[in-house]
Amino acid sequence: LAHPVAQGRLCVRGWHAHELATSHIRLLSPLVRKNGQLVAVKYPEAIEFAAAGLREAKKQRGSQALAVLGSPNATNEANFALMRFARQVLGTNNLDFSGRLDWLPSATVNPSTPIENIDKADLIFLFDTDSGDDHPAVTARLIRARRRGAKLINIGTRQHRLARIAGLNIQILPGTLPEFIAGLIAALLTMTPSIGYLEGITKPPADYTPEKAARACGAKVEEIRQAAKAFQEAHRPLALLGRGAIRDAQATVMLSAAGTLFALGQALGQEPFGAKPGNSLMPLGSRGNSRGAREMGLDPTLLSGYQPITDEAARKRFESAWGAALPQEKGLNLWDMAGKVRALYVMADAPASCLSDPKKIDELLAGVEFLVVQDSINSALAERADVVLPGAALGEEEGTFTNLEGRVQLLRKALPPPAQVHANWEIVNQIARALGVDFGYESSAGIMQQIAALTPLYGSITYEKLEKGFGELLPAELLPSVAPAVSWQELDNEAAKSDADYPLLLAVDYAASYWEGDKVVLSCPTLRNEFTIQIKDFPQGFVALNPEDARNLNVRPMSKIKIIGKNGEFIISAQISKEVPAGVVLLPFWERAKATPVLQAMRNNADGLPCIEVEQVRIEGA
Amino acid sequence: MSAATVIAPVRSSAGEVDYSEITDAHQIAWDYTISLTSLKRFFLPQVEPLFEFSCQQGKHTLQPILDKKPRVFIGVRPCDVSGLNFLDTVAKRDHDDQYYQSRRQNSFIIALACNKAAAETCFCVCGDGGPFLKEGYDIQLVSLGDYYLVEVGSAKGEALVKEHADLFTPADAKDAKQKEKLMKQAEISFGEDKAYVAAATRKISFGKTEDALWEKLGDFCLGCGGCAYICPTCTCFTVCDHMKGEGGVRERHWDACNYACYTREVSGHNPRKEQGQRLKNRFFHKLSYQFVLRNGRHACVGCGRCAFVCPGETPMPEVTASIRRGAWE
Repeated sequence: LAHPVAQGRLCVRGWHAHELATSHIRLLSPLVRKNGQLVAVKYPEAIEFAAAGLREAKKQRGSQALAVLGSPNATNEANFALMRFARQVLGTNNLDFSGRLDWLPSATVNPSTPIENIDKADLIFLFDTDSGDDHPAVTARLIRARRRGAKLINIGTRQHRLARIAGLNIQILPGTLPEFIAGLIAALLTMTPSIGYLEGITKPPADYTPEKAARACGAKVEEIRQAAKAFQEAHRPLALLGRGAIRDAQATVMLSAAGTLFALGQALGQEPFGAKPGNSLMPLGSRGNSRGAREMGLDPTLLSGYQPITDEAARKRFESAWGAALPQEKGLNLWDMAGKVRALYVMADAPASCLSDPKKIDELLAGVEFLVVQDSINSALAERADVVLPGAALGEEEGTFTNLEGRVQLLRKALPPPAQVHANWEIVNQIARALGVDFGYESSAGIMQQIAALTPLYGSITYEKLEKGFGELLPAELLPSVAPAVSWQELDNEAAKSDADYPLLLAVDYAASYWEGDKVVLSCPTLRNEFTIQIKDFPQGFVALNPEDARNLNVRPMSKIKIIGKNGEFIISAQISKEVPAGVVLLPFWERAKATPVLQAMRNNADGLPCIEVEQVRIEGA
Repeated sequence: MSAATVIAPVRSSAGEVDYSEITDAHQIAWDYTISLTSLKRFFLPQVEPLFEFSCQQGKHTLQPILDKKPRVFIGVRPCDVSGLNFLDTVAKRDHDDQYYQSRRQNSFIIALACNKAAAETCFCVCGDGGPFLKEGYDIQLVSLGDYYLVEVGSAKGEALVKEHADLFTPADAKDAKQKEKLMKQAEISFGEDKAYVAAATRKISFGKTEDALWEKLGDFCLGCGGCAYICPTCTCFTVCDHMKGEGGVRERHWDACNYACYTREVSGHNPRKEQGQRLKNRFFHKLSYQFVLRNGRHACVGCGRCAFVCPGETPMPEVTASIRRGAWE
């Protein structure tokens, strides 16, 4: 109850996460591939085998053909040790992890604001988030904020719980959030002509009217004006950015538009949550430590704390602390690794989960000659490995996590790991030692000392402090600037032109049933029951359709339909849901592989992260 | 009794109290309000191995895993003892739950009466779970200032007091009178967080709740299952086999009626597909007249824990209030 984030409440995952430790798919013995079969060996032999394989690959293929994946489910200390391993021992910047799905493009640092600001805000924009499903702790605050009288304005496509409980609900077409915000700004500017020139702020073009925005995003112009009025009257507005907003093809435009909106608010005399507009924006990442993992430098271009590898001074600090030269050139991200990487070391990650086309992982693995998997639970990936190193599960090792608001918290060791299982940072440490590099790490606290010494953002973090309370918030002022320059010209003026042959819009829904089939969830028996329902209901996958569209197209619930796009077609089952607006077909992100023929322009941004545009389609019976 | 594990309210470094094993009487937080969790987990653990099974050369063997460890619980709030008494009726109803009984028979309960509403969220006066116990305990302690009035509620309790007669002095009529006075004071000390149990029971039992209300409540229930897990009277479980070679262990795990998988049938049909329908079932089961007849009481002792664990706004007091009103807001 005293915990500032959880306040005594847990979500369904939280109530069951302890089952991981006793999971039936727990990895309990090190395995090594001999004559094509994975066989159990003693721990030192597995370490030696992993080291030998990596040594050989480095010798034969060079550092550029080696890559390392860390994890949003692993501690900061384990991820930092792994980052050091990649750069110092393997000599590569080929570093990534699946939790980057929660991140805006690499040119941008996610904005950050403490969760408790929800309690202080009087207006909260919910930008394309289904936090009732994926962030119950945040939603608990929203529900209380609502009762306290704060106004919730939901802006999104699917009409989920938040749409129903929000004071004002504005339904927009998928992928049109930047247009909506631009329209909101335009409406605000007409209401408050007194706002003149503002230093550093680029307003949307004068001819971008609320009417244009309304046409583009499918909202009513009156709704845009209502939202603008609510913003004008608010004293402390806040915005939550859901996964849909973050993963949108135009996420950077959305972010800078939102930044502009809050900067205007400040000019109107609002009481901001911080000096920068980003202090009022809360992106809702999905994984326990996806923020921490990135801040530990699991990135092809960044060292810990967003320090560019090309920043000479920063790199020198690491080099002198570690006594080794580090590679400087940009490494490969996960998407680009396919075909180029020959040896891969994966720590507790589910790499396929963040790719726009999960089959891409097969392409990567097909080219990998030596695969090391370190994890607490078994997976298809582990079954393909040459070495499997069982790592500690949640509660079996000490370490820190950094939550979405930037609170570094200490996870204590609640029970000892099984006999052949070791702390994750320790395993990395051992392989490094077997490869002739002594990290000198004795404990996770010791690793945090080094993180703090080398990372200004984490400079004030010590275990001593963390042990006393409920974690430490990272100083937001040390985060690099948030919003890139606005490129308003990318805004759409109209809704996508309707096409009689392709009258429906197919969009990826990043929020819907996010946990379905997730590997961590599947390892907990009770959660496995709860989060495989849709897989059981729709073994061939599904898209969600509005009941009226379904009636007009004569599509019955759970029946097979053919989705025909301009590039191709695919067959999938239909889920009929009144949460989906008419004219829109929503494809859950985890079903995306089935839709490749239509979404074959499965685009990625420069970071190799999904950036999937809306497609025009039609539906026929199959 | 000398070899028993002793479990008592213990204050954590964060200042919160929960029932926990102690080795020293000084660890007991006598002045606590209410513990984070009830006694349920000591009798019906969240994950409980039931039996080991093996199948070798066509021969099946089953080996039950019974927990016979003696445990003494000291300083238990009356609502939690009432919850335990409710669990007793469930464990005996259709068949003997030997796993539960084994733990129960080896336990000794020393209750601590509440001289006033322990916390703001308490509503045991509405759930008939406290603030003083009339039955179902081995020993009940009532703080009379400098000393405790010790009430004996079972043969086990009586035997213990007799065995340690040197620790007790006989109570007199004044003590009994003082207790009556404290009990009355306690009963009127409850705040605004009342649960309108009677109104809810009447409406639920006679089909007088609107589906629209449940649908609305469903929007505010985030489906975490926390209320069921924290509830001293919720007993639903699911089973799961942990295989190891030719055999394995069957476990039972807490389950919650808030989950979609709870009633989903093998065919894929789910009679309670929507959260609101699940919530309706939950409160029906807690409060309906037919279950009161079967179990001998409402399935709510008024501990109030659902009120602090619920991330939404659908704990017992809020739901009964909205049923009474006939509207959510």
